[in-house]
Formats: sequence, C-alpha cells, structure tokens
Amino acid sequence: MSDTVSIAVRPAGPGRSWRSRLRALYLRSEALRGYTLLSPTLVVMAFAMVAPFTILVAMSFWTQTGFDIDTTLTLRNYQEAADAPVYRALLIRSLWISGTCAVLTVLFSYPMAYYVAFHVHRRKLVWIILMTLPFWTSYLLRVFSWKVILGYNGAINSGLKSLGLIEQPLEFLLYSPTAIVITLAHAWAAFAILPIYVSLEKIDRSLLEAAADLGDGPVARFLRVTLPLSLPGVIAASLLIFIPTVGDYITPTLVGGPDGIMIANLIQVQFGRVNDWPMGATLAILMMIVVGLISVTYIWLSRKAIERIA
Amino acid sequence: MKSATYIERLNRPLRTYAFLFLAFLYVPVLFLPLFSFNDSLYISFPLKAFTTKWYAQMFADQPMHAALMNSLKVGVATAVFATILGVFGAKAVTRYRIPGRKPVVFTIMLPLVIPGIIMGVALLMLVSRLGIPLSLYTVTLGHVLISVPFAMAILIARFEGFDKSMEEAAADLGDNAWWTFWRVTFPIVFPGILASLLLTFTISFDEFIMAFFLSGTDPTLPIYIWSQLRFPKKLPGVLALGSVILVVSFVVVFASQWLRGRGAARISDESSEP
Amino acid sequence: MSGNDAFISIQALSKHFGPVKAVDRIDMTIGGGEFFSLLGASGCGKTTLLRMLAGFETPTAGDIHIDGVSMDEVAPHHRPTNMVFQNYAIFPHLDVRKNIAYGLRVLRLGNAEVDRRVDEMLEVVKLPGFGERRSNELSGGQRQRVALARALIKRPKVLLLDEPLGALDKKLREEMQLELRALQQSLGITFIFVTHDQEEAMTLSDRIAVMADGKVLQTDTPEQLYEAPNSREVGAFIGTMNFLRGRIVALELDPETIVVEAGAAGTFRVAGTGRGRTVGDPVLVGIRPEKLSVSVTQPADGTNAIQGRFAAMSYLGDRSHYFVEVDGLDQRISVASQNDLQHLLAVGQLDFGAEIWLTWAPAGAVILAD
Repeated sequence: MSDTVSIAVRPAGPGRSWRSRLRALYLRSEALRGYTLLSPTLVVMAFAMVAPFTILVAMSFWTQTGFDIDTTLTLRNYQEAADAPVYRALLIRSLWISGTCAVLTVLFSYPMAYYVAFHVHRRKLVWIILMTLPFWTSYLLRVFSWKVILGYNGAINSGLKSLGLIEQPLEFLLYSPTAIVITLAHAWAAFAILPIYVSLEKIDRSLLEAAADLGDGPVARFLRVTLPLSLPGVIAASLLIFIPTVGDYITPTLVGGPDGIMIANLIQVQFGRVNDWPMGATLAILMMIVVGLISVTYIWLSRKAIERIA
Repeated sequence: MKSATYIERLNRPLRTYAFLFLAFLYVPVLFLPLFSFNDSLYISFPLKAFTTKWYAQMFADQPMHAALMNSLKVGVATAVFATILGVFGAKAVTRYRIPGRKPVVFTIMLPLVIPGIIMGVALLMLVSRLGIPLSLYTVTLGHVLISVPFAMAILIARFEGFDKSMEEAAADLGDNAWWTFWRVTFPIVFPGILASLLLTFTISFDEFIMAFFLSGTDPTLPIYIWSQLRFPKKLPGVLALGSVILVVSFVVVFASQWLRGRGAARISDESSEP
Repeated sequence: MSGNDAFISIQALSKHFGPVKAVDRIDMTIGGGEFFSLLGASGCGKTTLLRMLAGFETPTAGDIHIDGVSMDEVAPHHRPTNMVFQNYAIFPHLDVRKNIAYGLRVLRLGNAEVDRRVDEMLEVVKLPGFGERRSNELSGGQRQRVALARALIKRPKVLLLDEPLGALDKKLREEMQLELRALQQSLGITFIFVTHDQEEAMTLSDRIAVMADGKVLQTDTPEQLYEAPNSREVGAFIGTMNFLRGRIVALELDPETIVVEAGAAGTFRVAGTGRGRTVGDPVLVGIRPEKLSVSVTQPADGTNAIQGRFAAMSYLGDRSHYFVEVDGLDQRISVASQNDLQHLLAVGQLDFGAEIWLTWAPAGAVILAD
C-alpha cells in the first residue's frame, strides 16, 4: 500500500566496491558535501588570490634589467626602498591622508547612520538605499565631479568670482591633500555608514529604555549604552575606509596636484612610465605590510578598549 | 506603521543634519549633468546657453560605442560568473556545517579590503608571467574576483533569511538535490540572484582600477573616459557620457537594492505569525 | 501496515558534533503503528535522533533499520519517512494546494489524481477551501495542519513530528493533541513525536523514551513511567516526586517488602521491591505527591509516616499543592490533594507552622536507581 519510491538497497559489508565506499563516505561527511559545493567558488577565488600574490612576492625579489627581468633572488629592491627617503615620505603622507579621511568620514557618518537607525520609521529601505547609492556608481566619475567643483576654474571658484566675492581663484581648494581628503570622504561615505548603521540597528531598544528608566538623560544614554555597543561598527567602518584609500591613485592624480602624490601613484608609474615591475611589487608589498600592521594594532587596541568598557 | 517610542521620537537637528548629509552625497555628482547641458567648452560659472550638442557629439563618437560594447560584454560576463560562484559559495557556507568556515569566508571576502591597485598589479604580473595577452578576458577575470565577495554577501543574507528546513522539507517529500534547488531554493532566492546580477554588473561596468591594469587594446568605458580627460576639448563630451552612466547606474542599483530589501522584508513577514 | 514489534530498529546509534555527544550509543526498537514519543529537555538529543531517522543528520556510528532495510546509505528523499517540521517549513512561494501536492511529483500522477488526493487531505486536516491561500495568510494552527497534510499525502511508513505543537497556544495545543491521536489511530502509521512537554507526551503516546544527555533513561508506557520510574531523573522529569535517601534495615520476604531507615524521615516500609536486595544496601525512595495524605493527628504505630511542619501552599483550583518542612531534610516534601486541607485551614484547625503527619501506603513508594 505504500506509494513511496523504492529504496535502493545496497549490500553492506566487505563486498562493497570502492565506488560504493566513496559514496558512503560522501553521504556520511557533511563537510565533504559542503566543500564539494563550495569548491568552484573556493578554487576560483583561491587561485585568483594565491597565484597573483605568489608572483607579486617573487617579483619583489627579482630585478629589472632593461626590458628583461632578472630572476635571481635579491633584496636589492627592498634596500633601495629603505634608502630612498621619497618612498618613506610618500608612504607616511598616504597613511596620514587616509587616516585623517577615515576619522573624519566616520565622525560625519555616525550621526547620519544614527538618524536612520533610530529616527526613521517609514521608508527606512529608501533611506538606506539613498545613503549607499552613490557608492555603487562610477568611482572615476565621482572623483571627477570633485575636480569639476574644486578646480582652478571650477564650480566654486568661478561661482564665487562671478558673484564678485573673490578676485583670484582660491588655490588651496584644488591640488592639495585637503582636496584629496574631501573627495575620498565623499567617495567612501557608504563604507562608513553601513557598518555603523548595522551595529546601531542591532541595539535592543529596551536597553536604552532601561538606561532611561534608571535615570540617564539622552547624553549619558548615548555615552554609556549606544556608543559602546556601536563601537564594533565604528572600528569596521574606519578600517574599511583606511585600508583601500591608502592604495588609491585616481584621486591624487585628479585632484591632488604635486603635494598630493601618494604611494600608489608611485606604484602605478613603476608599471607604466618607469617600467620597473619588481620595484612596483616591492612597494606594493611594503605598503600592504605597513597597512596590515597598523590595522592589526588598531584592532588589538580597540578590542582592549572595548573590554575595558565592558 | 508603528508609531515612534520615546527613544525613537523625532529629533529635528539630527534630521536637518541627515538632509545636509544627503546633499553632500548627491550635489557634487549633479554638477556633471548641470555642465553637460552648458554651451561652453569650459566647465565654469556663469552658465552659458542650454545645449544638447555635447550629447549629440557623444552619441556620434565611434570609439565610445566600441568601449560601451566592451563594457557591456565584460559586465554581463562578470555578473553571470560572479553570481553563479556566489550561489555555490553562499549555499555551501549557509547550509553545511563545514570545518574552517570562517577562514574560507574570510578568503573569499578578502578582495573587499585589499586596495584595488594591489589586486590589479598582482593579476597583471600573473597573466604576463603566464604569457596570457591582456584582453577583455583578463579584465573579466579581475572583475569576477572583486565582484564575488559582493555576490556572496547578498546571497548569504538571502540564504540565511529563509529556513534550512524548507529545503529539508523538499528532500523529505522526495526531491533530490537537483529538484530541491529548482523547486524550492531557486524561487525563494531569486530576488537575491537578481539583485546580485544587477549589482555585480554595475560594479564591473563602473570599475576602473582593475581594467586600467588588465585591459589590452580594447578599452572599457571607464578607461576610455580616463583617456579623454587629458583633452580639454573632449571634457564636455565626457560630462554628457558621465551623466548618462550615472543615471543608468542609479536606476540599476536602486532596482537591485530595492529587490534585495523587499525580498528580505517579505521573507520575514512570512516566517512571522500573521 | 506491518504490525511487527521492531518495525524501526536503532542500533548503537551515535552522533557527535565535535566534542559534544548529541546522541550517545542509543539502542531502540519501535513497533509498527505505534505512537512513540521522544521526551526530554532541550539539548538532550531528541531532535538530533529524529533528524537522523529522516536522514538530515548522518550518524557518527550505528545504524537505523526501517521495515528491515538499513537506512545507512539512503538519502532523505528516498526514505519511507516524512516529517512535520518544528516551524512547519511551509514553502512561502507556493499556495496551500501546491504545498500539499509538493511530494507527489515523484509519483508522476495525473492532474486529476493529484487534485483528488489534495482535496482528500484537505478534508482530513479540516482545511477545505483553504487551498488557494499562501503561508502568510494562515494562522499557526492552520500552518500546522498544512504541514501535516503535506507529510501524510505521501502515505509514509513513519511520520516524524518535531515539536509540532510547540508554537501553538495552550488551548489550541490541547485540541490538536486530540486530533493528532485520532488521526494516528485511524491511519495506523507509526508516529515518532519529539516534545519537551511531559503532559503532551503522556496524553499522546503508546510509549515514551525519556532522554537526557544523548542517552535514553527509560522507555515505557506513560503509566509505567509515572508509576515506576527507574531513576531519579525520570521521576523528577515526569511529574513531581519526593526523594528520601536511606538504608535497608530489614527484609520481609513475604510479600517482598523492605524496611528502610531514612534518618530524619524515620523508618518505613516499601512494598514489592525486596527481590535481590540485602540488608545494609543504600536506597533512594521516591514518593509521588498524590500518594501522600495529610493528618493533623498522630497516626497509629506501624503506618508509614513522617512528621513535619505545614510550610506553604499553592492553590491550583481543581487541587492544591502543600509543602511540608521536615527537620533534617534539605528539601520540602510536596503533597498534592483535592483541597481537603482547605476546609481545615478555613475553620482554623490548621495553620502555617502547625505540626502535621504525612502517611502513605507501603505500595505507594518506589525504589530508584541513583
């Protein structure tokens, strides 16, 4: 009377073929099935990450001789990078610009994320999309639009001049580290807003009501409950801005001017005009190491800080 | 709609700030369309007469058409590959207890936090050592690499949004893995797949850095724009092209995010008591 | 319908999640047509065991046979089992009809036959006319019925139910319990029912396996579990039980009765438990609250009795619980009775703190494994 499909019965025991054993192992191991499913993605991603980075590291120990690459291993590039002060100066400037940008972007984005998390009740989705929409559109065009605004004859200068407010264009606006910071802050705002918003949205509202019930005013409530609970979002946001912006070269090229050259510009020219790929690889690796060390230290310090609060 | 509680009551100064912030996000971008209709070679105030000639000039530009086609090809290929890889990855990490889940997800998400220039030069070195000529294929490879983390993030959220027991129920009722996927998983995850396709297409379409290092003689649209920036005479045409790209990107991204958000909201409605 | 006693047989079944032994070497047989419950606190391994029967978890060791066939290499979609999920898992993208018909795809039936069967199932679960609804248009109880219909339409040999009534409110739950029991009896299918609610398990089941820490403590009928628990854990989990620790001071072999000396609780007799015991053995005695009676006067010598103070009371309407403090015992003794002390309290013959006696028959207590 049963309508269920017939069951494929397999003989158990030593008579089983290796295929059936393999099948049994596959059925028994959830991990194996999981990794089988994951394998296309993992293989592609691992290959596309590991192989290039192996070459990158190898390349940094090679040297450029004319149009050829000498594959004898040497530390010459690292020696050169350590000796020439320009590399260090540019790296420090890049770190400084990105650091400033990360701090300012997080500071300005926090209230925005806070507003949407706590005070928007209707059409929250629209607000979230509006906050993050520009991020998905062309990075190049967004940076370019700041060149249009801040330029020597750009929107601000020409606008102020036509209104008769200034005689000469304000030069500090374009081709300066300030211009880079403003442009980057605009370009990366979504990376700050989203993690902060998520961490704020996760806060149980009854915790804030409990704090109010126990006598805390709005400011005390914010400092004693909201801020500590949203710190993970703040930390994530600052790193998500700091790390990629150190390696940006479009923004310095378009709005930075000579005082705004960053380390990534230097890396880029090694692959272009200078044509010294090994040196480019060395600089890229040095930049990653420094950024990595700073990030790890930052995460470690902020964990300690959070533990102390908690 | 729920009414605001004491904690969530209206805060006027904060609301003003929020609107100013949105203005900061959007106004700079609006200067591109503004000047694209200005009848002047120079991008400066005061505005001259209204014109659409820059748009006419842009649409007549043959190299631009070629670049646009290149970008479309790369974008579609990237979207399809990244989304397929995203579906595999997202299903595996959300549906199976696999040892080492965290390092695996970390590896796949790594491109999110590595500066683009590093990814670009590393891939450039790889393909050149392997003797592969630079082409739209290498650009697509680079774009898939940076798009997979986004596809994964969208699809993981979607997979986590619906209960694993749905798929178990299908298996329990006699469907094998193939049928379970097409009869249950796919229809429920579909909005996420669509969102992922749209978003990864936009990422690829607008991407500059990877394309800068990995494209050969066929430029993608952003590379073409970059090459035009050097010529002041071409700037108004770039403004027109940029305006069109921005509008299209905004619409596509808005659609994808809307799908994603609505989908998530619908799932949570369904799993809660009416 | 196969009426054999070992329709499902589980042998040395284990499931480990890393260091955690969710199910630890369980042996079990379940008869055909039986309503069998797995009862235990959350985390005891009952759901893991059920999911191994369905095929969603692969055992670390051991084997399951259903109707004589090893399930070792049988994928979930080929097993003769169907499941009602804890959250019902109603497909959100399909309406009720399509949900119920879902499992018929593999049978390749004609549309008319599918419609007929779905209509039949809608009748069985009392949801006629609900076919076009979506899951978000159903109440909790209705979803539960859809989940049941969807599983039963496959005519499984075994129906697995994972706390299916957990999400319903008390009244609806009791109604569904009766319906489930009636349905099981009319269909004659084996039901395996997971629950943490001992009353629910008692109401529904032919037999219950009480589980803790991945092991089965006792498998028995509801009556046996209540009247003769084999361990302190089972006694405490099923209903309430008072425990007295003591030592055998004498054996009366006819009838097999032992005399226990239990310190502060005095000396008393336990009937029917003398076999295989010797004087001097330590024993744990369990007494159900309703086996105790309260007396305000000292009972005659030779009756089992403990003297204590009336300490507290909770009124439950149809009955009351009284709590009695005994010097030298670290736990109060709990007594259930049908409000017969209310009267004494009302007329002032009894007051909190008053000296009272608890008496019970020698057959009213059981000896437990510690």
